[in-house]
Amino acid sequence: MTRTNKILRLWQRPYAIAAILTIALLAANLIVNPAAFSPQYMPQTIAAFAPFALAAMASTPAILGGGGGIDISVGPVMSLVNIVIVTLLLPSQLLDGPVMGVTAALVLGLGIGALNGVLVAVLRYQPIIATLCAMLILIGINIRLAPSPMQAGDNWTDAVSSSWGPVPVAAVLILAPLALWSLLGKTAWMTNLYSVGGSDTAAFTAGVNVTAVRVVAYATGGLFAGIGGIALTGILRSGDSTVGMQYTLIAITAVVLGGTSMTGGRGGMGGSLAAAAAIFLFQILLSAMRVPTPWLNLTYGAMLIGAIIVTVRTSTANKTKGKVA
Amino acid sequence: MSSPTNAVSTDTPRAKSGRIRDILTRGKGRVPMLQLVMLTTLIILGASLIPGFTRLNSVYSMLIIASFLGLAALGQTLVVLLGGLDLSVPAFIVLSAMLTSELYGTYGWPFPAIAAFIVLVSLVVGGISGYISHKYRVQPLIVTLGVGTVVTGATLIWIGGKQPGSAPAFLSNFVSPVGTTFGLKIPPAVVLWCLLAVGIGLILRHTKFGKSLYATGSSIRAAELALVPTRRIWVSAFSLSALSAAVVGALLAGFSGSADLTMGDPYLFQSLTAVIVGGTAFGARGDYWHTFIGALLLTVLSTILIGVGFSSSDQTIIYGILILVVVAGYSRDRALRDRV
Amino acid sequence: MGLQPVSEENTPATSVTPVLRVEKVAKSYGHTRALTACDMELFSGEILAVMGENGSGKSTLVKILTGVQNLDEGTLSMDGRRLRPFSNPVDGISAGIVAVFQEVPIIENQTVLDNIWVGYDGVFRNRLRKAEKRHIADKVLKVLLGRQLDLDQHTESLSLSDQQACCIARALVKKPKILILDESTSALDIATRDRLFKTCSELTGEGTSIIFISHRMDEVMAIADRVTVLRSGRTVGHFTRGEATPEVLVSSMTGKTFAQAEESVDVRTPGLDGKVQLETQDLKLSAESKGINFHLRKGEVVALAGLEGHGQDHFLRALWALEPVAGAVVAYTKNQAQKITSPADAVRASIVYVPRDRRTEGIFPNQSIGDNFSIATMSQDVQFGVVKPSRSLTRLKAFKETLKIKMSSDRDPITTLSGGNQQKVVLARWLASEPDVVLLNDPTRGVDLGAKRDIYALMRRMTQQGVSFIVLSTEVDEILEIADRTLVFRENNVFVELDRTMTTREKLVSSFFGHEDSQ
Repeated sequence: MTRTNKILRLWQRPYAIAAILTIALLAANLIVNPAAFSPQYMPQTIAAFAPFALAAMASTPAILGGGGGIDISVGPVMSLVNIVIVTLLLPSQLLDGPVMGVTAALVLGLGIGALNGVLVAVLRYQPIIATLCAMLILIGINIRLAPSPMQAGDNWTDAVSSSWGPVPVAAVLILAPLALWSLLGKTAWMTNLYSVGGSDTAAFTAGVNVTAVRVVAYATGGLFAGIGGIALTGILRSGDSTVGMQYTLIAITAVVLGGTSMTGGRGGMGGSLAAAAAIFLFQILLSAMRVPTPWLNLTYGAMLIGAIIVTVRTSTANKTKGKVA
Repeated sequence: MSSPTNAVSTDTPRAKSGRIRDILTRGKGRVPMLQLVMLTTLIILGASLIPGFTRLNSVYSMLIIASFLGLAALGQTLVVLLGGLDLSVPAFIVLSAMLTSELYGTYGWPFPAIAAFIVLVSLVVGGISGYISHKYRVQPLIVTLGVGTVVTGATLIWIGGKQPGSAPAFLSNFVSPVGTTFGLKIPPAVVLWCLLAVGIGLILRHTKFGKSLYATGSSIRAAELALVPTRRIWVSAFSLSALSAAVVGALLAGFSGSADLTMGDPYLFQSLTAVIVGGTAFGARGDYWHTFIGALLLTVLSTILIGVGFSSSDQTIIYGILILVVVAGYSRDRALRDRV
Repeated sequence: MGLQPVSEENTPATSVTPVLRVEKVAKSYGHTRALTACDMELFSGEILAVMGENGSGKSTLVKILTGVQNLDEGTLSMDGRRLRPFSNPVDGISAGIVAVFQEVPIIENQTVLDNIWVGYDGVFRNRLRKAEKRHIADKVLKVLLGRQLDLDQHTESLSLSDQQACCIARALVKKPKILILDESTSALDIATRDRLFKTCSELTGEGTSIIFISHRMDEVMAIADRVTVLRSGRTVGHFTRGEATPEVLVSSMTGKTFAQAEESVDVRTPGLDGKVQLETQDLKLSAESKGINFHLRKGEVVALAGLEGHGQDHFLRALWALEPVAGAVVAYTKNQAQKITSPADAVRASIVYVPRDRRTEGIFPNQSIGDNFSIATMSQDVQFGVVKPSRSLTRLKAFKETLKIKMSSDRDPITTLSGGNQQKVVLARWLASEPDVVLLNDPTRGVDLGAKRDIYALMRRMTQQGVSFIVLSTEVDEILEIADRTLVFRENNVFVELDRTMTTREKLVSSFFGHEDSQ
């Protein structure tokens, strides 16, 4: 009895669907496309997954913070970092190299994220509007810097698809934000974030500094997006201003599929990561089966809609169950 | 009432600015004052900066471009009034442009049949976005992102890599600056836009549908308890949004003679910008007449920007800043302290 | 720290320096003055009740004292030292002023433990270890509830009363110097309320001062040492325990003498012989409930009462088919039996429902008063597809008279009205459809005395014309005043039905707790 109960409770977790999808798709991939998961190609596969994972993780904190919180500028931030590295840093002798590159990525991500946070939490712009403007401005800047895709040549970001000893570099890029997130989980901030997401007025009157908590949430998301920009450069090997929006789409799909509530306060990083993995695995499964690109687009959209319907249905079903019990 | 001098000195300007704000608040509900002032300023600026700005031909050109934008923003206005954003506008523009040129040019369908087909498809598919958003209480932004991607994907699959056929010739007259409407030397697209603006404006203000839409956008729970058919309202708004985008698609096909896969892209952010800069905001504030002014304002602005040598990427940046500036004036969230 | 001396020249007016002194505090929202001149003193270890009608400025005072809002004029001083204005609740809390706010501010997605400790820590810094937090939380809940709560349980599954207890615990763990209870007892069951009062007197024994705000006269009489009365944003009186009789307080709050305020109380003749308008057939509120067979007669007012969450809300909503239940609801309003399976059915049968939570279920905040009023009766105004506003305006004017709605133009946003007037507009929205049966879900919650009387008067007039009412009420006084019959709910069953002639305060309250002798 207790075991079935446990399984039931696991199934009711918001990330259950994403986790099950990930496992199923992983199995399907191993049958159809085992090569991608061989030790030889594993680093590349993880490198290709990294931008998905980081975009999804970057979108999560703002949404958790509630109040309609959302950051749709995540994709363009990743693009900006990518383009800055390729067009400004790599060609310069002084600024080339991983130290400058990583610093620039982190500073840009954190800075833009914090600015979004200030627009939302301090200046009280509606989050969609604020990050829409950030996105427009960033897209403009990206096109200015790279009007057409710019080849990067061999450079330090190529390391993203290689390994340090047994550890794929891309895995480090994914794990670093996760580590930071669990570190933040040890502080009061994480509890504060979920409280603010649940009811900002209650948290405010109870003495939580809602503004600071939300600004940190956007800044953290921005930071993750900055890291995502490095991963993006590693797989694109060029500076490209056209890919950004695509990652916003993937990221939001992943957050929804991962069971994070769009109204805030429920869900988490794990769900987003699992959902990003599911989306990624689905994509490589389709390409391994030689499905043409237009179909990929179609399936992305269909997946997003499917994710909405499935997650909302299960979460409301759980809620009503909880009430009767 | 006697109060200490320091209190008076701090109080008076506040009271005064409060009064001015009050007048502005009352006015802006009905007339987009700020936007009209900005539009007038821009027109004066354009006339002085750009040679030939006020010539009839260029005025008509601007009006036609504004009508594309204004029509694309028509449904968007309804969706924003309900508290959402419609990101599927470009998808429906491309779909409709493709259908118009391919079915006419390659398959030889008669235009009324094509029009009926486009209307049907856009109403149904747009309605699906509204239905899902309402039924599952999900932000329309996300749903329309998904539906838009599916529509774009489907269009791509249908067209494949080939060049679509060409659009009917009379559509080109419809959107030409030298086109005529019943003998009058006004481009038909502009006439259509103005008629629709008046029509939609009146419908929003004086019909049961309009009042129900505002009630639903203002508080969906209260609307349901007042027996407003909120789902029907949501489905209608999103259907109309897809339809208005489809109309733009057909007009654009006429404008450029055929269709391409990127022709809808600019309209995503421009339609949003026109609505927001026009003064319509979440929570059922504003109306289509605001958007009408917003579309004119953006068109004049971008004409000037291009005229003085800015690129389209600069325009995107300026749009972003413009929204921030305009929204700062009136449509930010209430402070947390005032919501306690 | 928010507590910083600005000047020390304040000489105390009395021999004992008050813990908190409020002097000439004023606050405006836009051009409505919420507080004009508020003066108040709070001494160490006392319970001060602040009373006043709705709109008298009590809530605003609380917001200023806690740092939620800034004051426009006046000064606050603690222990004789003037306070620098708080810029947010963090400042207020660090100065030792902690409030439990009126609306239950529970955070549903969080656990009991997190709800109790929210706001205690810094943005990043944990001020206490988790084990200590659990220990203290257990202790405080034990004192308030007399039992343990699962600290890891999410609060959405708690009863309203337990949720409120968590919010009170949230304030208590911060060890306030000044504790403000703003209508914090409204959601509590009586046993918890009594334990809270006991806790309050223990706290005052340790030197904590308490500001107690309540609409319930009996509570104020029970625990307050002194009473300060506000009227239209001004302090109009201070009363000691001996002076503060209900008569004195009511006349001070209303500015009228007691007799005037009570003038509208009269005895109605219950319409027991009237024809049945609505009945329920074996309606079951939960799987274990007994079937409810209830009849509502023409011209009757039936009250639904009971402790919060015992099924009365569920029952009322089921009558309008807003909740799925077993059994049937049948209307006879149109001279034939008609099953009610949707709100649309109900409206067709001339049964209307006025929701409870005005802010989220009642008003359309950005729309005009006129549009808020006419939304449910719009079909009457349509001519050639166009809605004629003049027709709904005529209807609105009638209600403006009878309900005494204070408004200038029907084109003003509804949010320019006070809460009581907003509620009147929401009521009028459905009454304008000329219903036969009106379901009211706590219609006077958060409405001041004057507005209550206007609403009761209209109800009385309508019952004389044959309209029936079912009113869910959380106020005993209201039930005593308006109900012909009262159904008391307990554990999703009708525990007892009390006739007007048998209804007394004692019977009503004891039946809430399941005492059989009330039958």
